[in-house]
Amino acid sequence: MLQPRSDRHRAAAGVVTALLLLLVGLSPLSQSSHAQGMTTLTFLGPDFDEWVAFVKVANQIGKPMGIQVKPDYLPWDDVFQKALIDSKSGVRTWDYVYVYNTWVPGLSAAKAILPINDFMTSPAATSAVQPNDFITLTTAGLELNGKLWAMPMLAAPYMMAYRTDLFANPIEKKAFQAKYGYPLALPQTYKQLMDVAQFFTRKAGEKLMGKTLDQDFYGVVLANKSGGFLFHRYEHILVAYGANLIYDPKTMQPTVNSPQGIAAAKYYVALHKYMEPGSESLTGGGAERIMASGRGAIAMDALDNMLSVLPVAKLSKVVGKINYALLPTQLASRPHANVGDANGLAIYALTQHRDAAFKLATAVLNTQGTKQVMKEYPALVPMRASVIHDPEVRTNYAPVFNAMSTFLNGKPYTVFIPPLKEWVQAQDIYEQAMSAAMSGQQSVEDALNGAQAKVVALFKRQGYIK
Amino acid sequence: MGMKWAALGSGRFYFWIMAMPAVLYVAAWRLAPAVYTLWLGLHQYNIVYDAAPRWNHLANFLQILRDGALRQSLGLSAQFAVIAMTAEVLIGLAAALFLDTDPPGRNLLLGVFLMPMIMAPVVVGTAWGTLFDRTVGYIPYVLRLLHGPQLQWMATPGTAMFALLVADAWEWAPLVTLLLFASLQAIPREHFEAARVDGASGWQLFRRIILPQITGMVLVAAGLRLMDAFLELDKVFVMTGGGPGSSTQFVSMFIYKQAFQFYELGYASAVITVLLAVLAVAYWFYLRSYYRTLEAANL
Repeated sequence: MLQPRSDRHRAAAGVVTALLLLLVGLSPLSQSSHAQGMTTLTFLGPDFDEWVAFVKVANQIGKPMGIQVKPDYLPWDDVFQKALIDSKSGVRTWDYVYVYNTWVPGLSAAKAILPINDFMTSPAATSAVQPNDFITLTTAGLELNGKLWAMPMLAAPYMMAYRTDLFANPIEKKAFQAKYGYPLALPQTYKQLMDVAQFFTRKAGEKLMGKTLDQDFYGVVLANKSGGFLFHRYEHILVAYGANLIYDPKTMQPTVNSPQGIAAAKYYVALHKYMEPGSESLTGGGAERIMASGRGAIAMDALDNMLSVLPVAKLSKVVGKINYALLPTQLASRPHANVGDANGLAIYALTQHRDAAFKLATAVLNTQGTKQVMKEYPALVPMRASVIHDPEVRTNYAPVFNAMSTFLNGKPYTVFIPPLKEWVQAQDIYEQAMSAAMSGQQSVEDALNGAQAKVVALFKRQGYIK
Repeated sequence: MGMKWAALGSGRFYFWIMAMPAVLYVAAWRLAPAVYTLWLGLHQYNIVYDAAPRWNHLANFLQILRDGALRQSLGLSAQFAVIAMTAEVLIGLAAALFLDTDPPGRNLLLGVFLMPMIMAPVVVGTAWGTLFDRTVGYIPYVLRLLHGPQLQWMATPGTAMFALLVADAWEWAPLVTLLLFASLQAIPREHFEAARVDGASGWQLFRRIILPQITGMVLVAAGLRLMDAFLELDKVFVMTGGGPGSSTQFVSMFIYKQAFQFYELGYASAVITVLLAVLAVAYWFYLRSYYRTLEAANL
């Protein structure tokens, strides 16, 4: 039996619509990576200003080379997972992957990224990388087993940013001397940091520098969000107190609940009282916004995080009132102890554009390219000596230059994440214990003993210890 | 009397042809993944670092017995599920009773009340995470205006759990309302009229007429919510990430971390297998008691 005419029209319209939707749905798949004669490189990275700047400059530099970069931005901590899972699943979409130094052992062990050394097969290629120009205090975190796993892009040395106006204020100096029996000054030890943090923590209605506060004020500002932020702030104190980073690399024995580790954790939990309530949900950027709003005396963070917010007039109420210093010292043998942080650009192991990826990476992250990225992102902390010592950089990026000079001249005791492919897993266990101790869910001892047992179980399962 | 196969068509061949799609569906989509999960549970397999799964006897299952974190997660899940289910049944019942009184604009009210249920759980988690946020959240703001306690909702174990319970009740009490409201609507009105003529109070109406007739549906709703809440993941993921510490790391979050943060697919599969078995047993007890209740109520 024939269908009525209107039904047939409806059916035809339905089929046409379905075909159109199918076409629209499939169109991204048909995009060629060689569209219009250009080679398109895809970048998997975090939606951070410095990487947005990198992509912009890469496209400017790449255009005459016939190369363009298309970014796919994810939350910072998802990039690692995505790169691992995709490489394991044989996904060939990516060419570049953003790399944080703690991810290097995991990504390299999983063969998700290619060592840059693999490309340095000729003098010209080696010269393009300029390895002798690297500031090793910042780039060592991107090296493992004698190989460089990513082109260094952004150093992230941990430092203190402090309010110069507070420390110079006569009222505050007098009050501090009266309360603690020594002069108010930039803390050189962790004991002094605790005193200063306690001293400056005040409630709305109390006075600061003779003026009544309309909001609470905090002695110290730190980002404590789980997922890496908390551990990356705490680890410097852990090292300063003489502890290993989670385990002893010589014996492979976990040392989470070592006496030094417990002392460091107790210190951090005590310091937590002088931080913004709710710091457990703060990322680095969030913490710096609190400092920038004029509600903190001292921030401890990656230098680029601080530089990207505190001196920027449209974001900060403390422009011109901030200076940068090395972290305090706990043990004389470990002056200004810190854990080296580095961010780089890795070449994805399953890239289909190996040569183009290497060519563009070296062009963008060489001396001139880095300076171009700095124009887009003035808080970039370069990892090349030639950039730091460039007269133009000294003049135009004085806060970066001065802070880096302080760091490099201070010769801080710097350690790097050990080459453990399960590092992220071990770090997560430790971080969860710290979070439990900070929230009062467990005592420091119980939390760290529990974490120690978990790390021991992990190491046993992986066959590192019996 | 049961229908004979021959009555379905031309013998067994016809029966198998007709049954095959359903059999294939169940085998391919239900049984095969379950069997694969069980198989993986018997292997050491880190999806990223191990080249292939390695048979490790029953090490994963033995690990489950020793895993304090898993025990804690199971306890937290049970605690959350029982409290959430109780709250949702009580709220849902109260709302259903109210709607059954036929208030003005009942359909509109019902529509509005059901909206959270159709929202993606991640959206619900994001919305409540924002509402409880100390800096921009409405709840801390109102408490501040009322000079109430200044709580760090997501920073202390008790308040983080409470925030999750509130979000879950907001999302799922409407489902209970919907089920119970449908059940209430099916009660013949004559029962109420007759009881009222006999001088029954409101409480007696509820106790003697309403409750016996909706008990079956209350059990269905409670069972559904209990099992669903026990496996809660989305809102935990968005609102607390399992923290602070591990105070809201429910069992689904525990499994997620094992599988997708630590890539221990073998161990995660073993936990899933055990959990599935435990839930199946619990579900069997639940069904048995459900049918007994129905029989007792002569329904």
